[in-house]
Amino acid sequence: MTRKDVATEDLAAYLEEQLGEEQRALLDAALAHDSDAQRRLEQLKRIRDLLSAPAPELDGIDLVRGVKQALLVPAPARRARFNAWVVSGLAAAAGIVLAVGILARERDEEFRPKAALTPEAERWAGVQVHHLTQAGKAERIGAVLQKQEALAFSYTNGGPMPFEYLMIFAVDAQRQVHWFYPAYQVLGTDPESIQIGKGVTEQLLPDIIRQPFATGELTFHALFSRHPQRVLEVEGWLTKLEAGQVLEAPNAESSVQQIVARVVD
Amino acid sequence: MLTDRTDDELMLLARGGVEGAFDALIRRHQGRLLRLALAYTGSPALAADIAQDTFVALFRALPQYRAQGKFSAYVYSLLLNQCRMTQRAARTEARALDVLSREQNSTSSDVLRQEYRRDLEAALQGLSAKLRDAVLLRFAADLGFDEVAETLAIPVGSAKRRVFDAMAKLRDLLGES
Repeated sequence: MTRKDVATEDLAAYLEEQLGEEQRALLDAALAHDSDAQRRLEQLKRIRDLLSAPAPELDGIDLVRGVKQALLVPAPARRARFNAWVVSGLAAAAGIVLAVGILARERDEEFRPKAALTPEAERWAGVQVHHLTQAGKAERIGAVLQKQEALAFSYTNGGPMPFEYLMIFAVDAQRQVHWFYPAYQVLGTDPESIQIGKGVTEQLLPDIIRQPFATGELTFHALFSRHPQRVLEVEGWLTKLEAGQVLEAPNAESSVQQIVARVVD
Repeated sequence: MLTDRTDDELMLLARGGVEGAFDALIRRHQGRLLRLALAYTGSPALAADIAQDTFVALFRALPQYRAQGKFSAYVYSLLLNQCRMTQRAARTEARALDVLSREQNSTSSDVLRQEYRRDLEAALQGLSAKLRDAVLLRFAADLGFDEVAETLAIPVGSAKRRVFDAMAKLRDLLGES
């Protein structure tokens, strides 16, 4: 057989074991002395192996959390079903009972809003941080937080001009930034704020999150905005802060709020 | 246990509001969906976005889903649609970031393999959509020929022919390397 006798498509079929017995025997015979066909077969093997190979850059990606976050943007006709999935899943898994209250009326002493909006607008938006008790119930955090505590978040976004986007992150005593929303798990990505519902009171976000905080002061930040912000941009702002400075709202259409706690062993 | 359930059963359980059923589906299929999306786009960031959007679309389609033993065909059709939409609105900056991070993370022994892989990614873009979809479903998503055929709504023989043609074409595009 010459090169023209052995089509590369047939070699691919041979490699995939999709030839009949007779055709396979013919190709076996051709391959025994056709070095060009052998080389093409090796090239096809290499292509197949590379297309099938695991992708290490995808290791560790778990889409469950991201899917739940994305589903927080309601599809109006199916919102009720989604909410049942997210909230019942979280509540059943952790036995969470959240005390519902209007954040604007019940701020803790440690809740220190820093905003470029009018006080009227600030009154209607805020984040609550909850930790799980040993009994599996969620309580708003106090002034002290245990290391690696399981946390959950809820937000309120009401008033005449509600926001559209939210980021929640914390800066620990070693100035390490811990991202909660959006999830920031893959190096080289730059996720943006999650979209939030408007006219919402105490909306529970879907995850229970543990992060290894350094002991010392931990400042949670909630950045509400009308346009999505990017993780890397926010980290850029944080790196420019001097010791003791707090992050301010980046523009007149956003609001930054801080909740300060102390992490202990 | 949920992990013992078939895909169709999990879809029906999720539709009925059973806790964890949809999570189980995501965890069962996310690896292959991510790999197919990565092969399609060449970008881990875009791949994660596409796979996530696919599951979101799948969840929102729960009320319409028909349990006919064709879950793979259904979900991979959704994924391919997402891939095409994303490709039309490709975000080049994300791709640049991915390439940068890949290079930073690579060891010297990986360099040749990564170079060949980048050539392969480029060659994939040189295939017609029909051939590209078929060969990626077969190898990146590790589907059988019958599943490839179902996903693309073509006879099994046509699916095989497309895969073999795609492999031959890729070899041509990659040259003699």
